[in-house]
Amino acid sequence: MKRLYLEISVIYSSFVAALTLYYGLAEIFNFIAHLPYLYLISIISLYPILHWKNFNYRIHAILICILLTVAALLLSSYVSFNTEDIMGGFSLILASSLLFYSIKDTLKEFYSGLSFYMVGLFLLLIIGVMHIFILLADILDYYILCIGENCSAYTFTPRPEYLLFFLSLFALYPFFHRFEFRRKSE
Amino acid sequence: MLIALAGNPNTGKSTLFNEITGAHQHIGNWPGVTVEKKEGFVEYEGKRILVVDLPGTYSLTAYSLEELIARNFILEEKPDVVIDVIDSTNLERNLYLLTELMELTDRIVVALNMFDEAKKKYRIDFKKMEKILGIPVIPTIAIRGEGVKELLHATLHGKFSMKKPEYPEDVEKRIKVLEERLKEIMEEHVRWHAIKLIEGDVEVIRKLQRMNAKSIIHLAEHLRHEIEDIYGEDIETVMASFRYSFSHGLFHEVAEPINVGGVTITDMIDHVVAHKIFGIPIFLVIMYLSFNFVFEVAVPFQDAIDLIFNGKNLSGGGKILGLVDISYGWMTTFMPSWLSSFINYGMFRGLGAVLTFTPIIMLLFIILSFLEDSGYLARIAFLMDRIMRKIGMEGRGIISLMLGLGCNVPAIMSTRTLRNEKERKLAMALNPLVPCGARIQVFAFLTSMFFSKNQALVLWSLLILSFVVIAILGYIYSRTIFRGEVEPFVMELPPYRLPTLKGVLIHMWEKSEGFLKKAGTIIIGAAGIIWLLAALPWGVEYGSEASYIGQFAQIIGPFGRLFGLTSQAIIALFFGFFAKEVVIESFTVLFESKAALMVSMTPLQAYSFLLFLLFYTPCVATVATIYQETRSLKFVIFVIFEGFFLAFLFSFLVYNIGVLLGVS
Repeated sequence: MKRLYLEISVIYSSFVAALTLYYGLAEIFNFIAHLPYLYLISIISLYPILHWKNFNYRIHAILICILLTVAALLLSSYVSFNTEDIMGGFSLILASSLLFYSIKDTLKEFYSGLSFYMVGLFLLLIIGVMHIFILLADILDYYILCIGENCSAYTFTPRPEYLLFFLSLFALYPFFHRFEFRRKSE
Repeated sequence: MLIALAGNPNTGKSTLFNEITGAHQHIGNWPGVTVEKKEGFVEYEGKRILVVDLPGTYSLTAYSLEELIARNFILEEKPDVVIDVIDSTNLERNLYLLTELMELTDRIVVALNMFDEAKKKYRIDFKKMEKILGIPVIPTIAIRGEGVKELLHATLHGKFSMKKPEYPEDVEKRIKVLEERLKEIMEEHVRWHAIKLIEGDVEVIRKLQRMNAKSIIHLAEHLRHEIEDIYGEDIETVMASFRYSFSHGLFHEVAEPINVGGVTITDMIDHVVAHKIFGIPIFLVIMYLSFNFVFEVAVPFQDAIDLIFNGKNLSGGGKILGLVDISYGWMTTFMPSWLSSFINYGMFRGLGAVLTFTPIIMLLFIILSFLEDSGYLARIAFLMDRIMRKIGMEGRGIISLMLGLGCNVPAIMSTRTLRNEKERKLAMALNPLVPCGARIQVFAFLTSMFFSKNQALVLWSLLILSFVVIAILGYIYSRTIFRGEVEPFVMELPPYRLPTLKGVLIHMWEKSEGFLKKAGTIIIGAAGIIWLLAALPWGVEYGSEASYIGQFAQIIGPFGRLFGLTSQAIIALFFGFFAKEVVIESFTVLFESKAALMVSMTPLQAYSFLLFLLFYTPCVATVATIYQETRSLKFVIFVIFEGFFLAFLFSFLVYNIGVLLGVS
């Protein structure tokens, strides 16, 4: 069971990393979601299986990837994200790099892998919290500027960081779960 | 000669004692208690050395009998040397006691026992440890008698120039206050008593009660509560965590783990944030996110304050009156309009402008306090140190540069801790190039005025540029005019923790308070002077070419055009020499409205101005401090020249390249 949890967590974080990379690039080059890109994400998410020969639960992993990709496709048909923020894009690419970098050692159950996994997720959470605060400030400012004016209701512009924040919350599982990780040299 | 052997339990202390004294030993009890006391002697180089084996302890608090015996022996018997026997296989844990011993006595020899076993876990650079601590450090293998002679040699002939660990400023300044009072009633171990009093050590309090020093005890209690309020934790936790930080930092400096047991969250985070590839990008991203947060979240609060002071013109006609207009209207009913204008549009509006960007300052300091209290700021210093070492500048100089982000004056003064004169001068030459808190406030204000988007990126780029310039100049200076040997030191690495809201708010207030006081005094005063210069001689149009300030601007205007600087910008720079915050006042007083100010410069001109402001001469207080510290007019002129040279260079290049590329 332990191995199953771990491998599923890795596949999930790999999907989050791929999606983060995608939105990071989208924020830098200012493009929006297209189906081919999302299919590409699902393929990138399978990187741990391709990379790690001893992957025990391949079928579970592939099913999860398919499920997540379908969810992403459905979401992209309903929500269009604001993707224009060069430095925000770099921040996401960095978080994504940390997550991808963690995969190999996490699968080997080394602490070094878990370290990168944890910091990558923390970074995504910090970015998410920051954008939630900015959203609240934006709403407050809108109504302050509206004092004495006839303003319509505030229009919410979704950003990918909100989605990634909630996705990364779920990925915290292996960090809090008491997996027995080892030092590299042990 | 008297030697005491101290150390944690099970460090091989007794084995070492046996190796040193051989058969010449006596076993008894410590006076009044049943704790075993071992004494012995050795003849070495013709000297008879009495050796006492102190009980094994993990610390020197007053909780256990063993701890009391150990520390009282050092306090009362005053051994010539204390040998701290350290179990090298648990180096970091054992260093805690060493930090406490270092508070108690200057003459310590460290015996790194079980050195052979430790080699399987880490590579320990004991020579570096010796240099950092300023006391002899000898590797020993007591069980085989290895290193014993070297140990005895070091006790007799070793160099003792101990560099004592220091607590953070919040704590250190309170220790100093208590030290001053304690000097009135005691001569020895004053610092140790001050520390223990602040910690609420019952034995030391009893001792002072016996000396009838109630006022000192009350003072210590008051200082203790202040520290607890700042850190949001009880004093023992606070002090212990600083000692652990020192031990952790020292351990990281001298030991390179090959294979260690348990892994803490701090170890795991450090593994990534201090990573040779990811460390710097993470630092840059955290900085960017912090600035972005500050700018974006401050906006509604700034708009609210602006609305309260200046009111606003409604899109459908009409106006919401602000406090300035209401006050002006009210004052003209009983005083001349010029005086009402001076008070309201010169000073009151200036105060409003200053308060408008108070949210930015407070949020900035909240973020900085959060990063500091969480332990991440220490890692930034660690990362910077690693980079700076590569370019030839290292050690405490980095800390002084980091302090410069707050204010250059204490940062310059903090270079006193540098033992090497060359390194000290190097740090002082580079320090004014670090954007201080006041300059960051001005940058924050002006970027929010002149840049409609990418504000965080603009501020971020200025800070990065300053660090790059400092790195390059550091590299050049340390190999030319300030060449010299550099001292290694311990970079304290506290464990990560979630800061308390109270602690963050107290730190934020301590840092913002100074600015608000300045806003109420110097800045408002400066606003009045600038208003007068713009309004005089009587009868001329406010701020026109005929006014004094206008005439001054006409003289220097052509020169400023080389850099894209408007005459108002040059006037602001001129007043910025007195205090950097006054730059904001100059702008707000020289322009009648925020809208007029916002269109007074293009983004390219504004960026050129920000670059000039980043590098040109430090404020008068910093210049005075540099002179006070060096007593060298030549060095002061060098620092001012360096700043102006960089300001002219960058401002000129950026503006003119921008114009050539059509950016303007």
